[in-house]
Amino acid sequence: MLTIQSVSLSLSLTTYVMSFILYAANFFNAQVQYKQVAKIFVIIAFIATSATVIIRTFETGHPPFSNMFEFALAFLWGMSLAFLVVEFKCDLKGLGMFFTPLVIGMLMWLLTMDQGTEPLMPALRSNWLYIHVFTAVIAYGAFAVSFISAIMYLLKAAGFFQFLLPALETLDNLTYKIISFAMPFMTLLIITGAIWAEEAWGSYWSWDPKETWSLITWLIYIGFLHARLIGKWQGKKSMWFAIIGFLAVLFTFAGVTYLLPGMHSYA
Amino acid sequence: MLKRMTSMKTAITIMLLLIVTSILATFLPDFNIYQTIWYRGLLLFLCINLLFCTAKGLPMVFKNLKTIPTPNKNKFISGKKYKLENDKHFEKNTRASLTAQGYAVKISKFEQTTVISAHKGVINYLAPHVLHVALIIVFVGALLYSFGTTDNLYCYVGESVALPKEVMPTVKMRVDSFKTLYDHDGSIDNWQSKITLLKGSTPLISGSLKVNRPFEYSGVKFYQSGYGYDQQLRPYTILNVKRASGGSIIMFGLVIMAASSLFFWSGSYRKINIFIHRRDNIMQFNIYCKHKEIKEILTNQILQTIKGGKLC
Repeated sequence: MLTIQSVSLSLSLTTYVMSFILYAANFFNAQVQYKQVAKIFVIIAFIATSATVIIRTFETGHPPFSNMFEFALAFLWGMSLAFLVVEFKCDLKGLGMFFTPLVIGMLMWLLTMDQGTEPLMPALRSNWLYIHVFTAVIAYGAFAVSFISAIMYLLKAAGFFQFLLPALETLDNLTYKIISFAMPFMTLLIITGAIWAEEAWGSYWSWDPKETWSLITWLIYIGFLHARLIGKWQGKKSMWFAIIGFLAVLFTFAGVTYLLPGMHSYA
Repeated sequence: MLKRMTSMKTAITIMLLLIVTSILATFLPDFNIYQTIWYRGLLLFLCINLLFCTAKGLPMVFKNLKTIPTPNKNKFISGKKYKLENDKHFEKNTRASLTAQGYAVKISKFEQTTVISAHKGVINYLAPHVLHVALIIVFVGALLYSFGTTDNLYCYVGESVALPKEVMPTVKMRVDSFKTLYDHDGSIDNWQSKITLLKGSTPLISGSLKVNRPFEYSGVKFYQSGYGYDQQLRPYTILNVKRASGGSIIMFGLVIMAASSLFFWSGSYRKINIFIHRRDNIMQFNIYCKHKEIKEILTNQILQTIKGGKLC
């Protein structure tokens, strides 16, 4: 089973690397065919990632929600899905070239991780787990795409790839749309976490580092949404919120686990 | 002063301060920053800001939803004017097409002007405001909840301990059994304690509890929090017992928060006001919508109704 999982993960990695090369070729040469092939690779990569999730679920008897490797796999799946949707819906020039390295990095990290299976610990044996992690996967996946579009905005605003990147307004609009879509998931993530914590630990909120960092992430994105309502804060400033927001997502996800042990220490 | 306190800039500034202090707090757990007066003060300040913003904004929200613009002494509003071929025809068509698209349409007749006012996506328009109110409810619940009492009870199987006075005076808890539950593959599924509450020697109620399945009796909740063995290998169970009011207020707030979060995904709010100046057969309109693309689509749609619309 472990080998099938490694094969499907390696297939995801290979196809994402191929799509990155093609996206880059399309970005600098404006050859449409490259992008079309890149998109086919992205679909294959998504299927391979989904297959890994399914294989893992059958192998362990529960969705991949029980340790760091499994959470990272779920996060990767969310990122792949979010990118696939945005890519096919908006077809933005450059997004593929800038986004695929993020997924490739994530895949490489996954492949170096301990892929062993563990039974679900009692505290996690609750139906809340599924909705709690599902909201995280969707929110974090979407935030990853908004992070890249915000970087593209700042690159263009700073004068890089002036004639190659999409218009600032398009990038700004996309970043805003993705974050507006993801924020309700992020809110539901915190709400389901609070309700579950009350059931499991007897308190809605315990200032556990993971809880606090999810609140920090939430506040940053709330900042992003509100900053746009103030004239002076639009544009570059609000893009910084989107970038720092995703860095906070990454820290909540991985940094807290390794650096700040707490009640969420299983992941 | 009041204006500054209720401004969005202040809200963002407090949020930034909260972000920075929270980050510090997670890295310096020994300082227990969350309990300090200034951290709590920041949270309270944010709540007050939210309260003022909401109180200030809510009347406007309902006013905006209800108001039908009145033509100013039959003068034209600023903006483009379009010549109509037949104003009655146009009114009928517009009304039918907007209604078919799910708009709530109101037509008001003034001396020389007919105003068609239509809107759609009210849920989306209300979403942020409902979310703000829900947050205030959660804050209030949390404040009450923080005055609750909680304690850990250590008890051997077959023995009993008195519940803390503040939780439930004169009541004892007896642990009838404690066991570890296993899966078919041998992994630990859960830990289960069976308990009986006693008043004197009269049993009040019996029940069982597991991790993720607390036991509740008259406002007091019992949670399976741990277990252990003493030096003679006698097992004991650790139960967390809690009495706190405000829990139901928090739940209520959280449910509204969740619902209003979902509201954000409904179609965005748009409002169309069309003015028909009957005497000159001239039409003017304005559209309110946050999304530029939707605004453009709607503009084209209205112009199509008047077949391109001759600009005058």
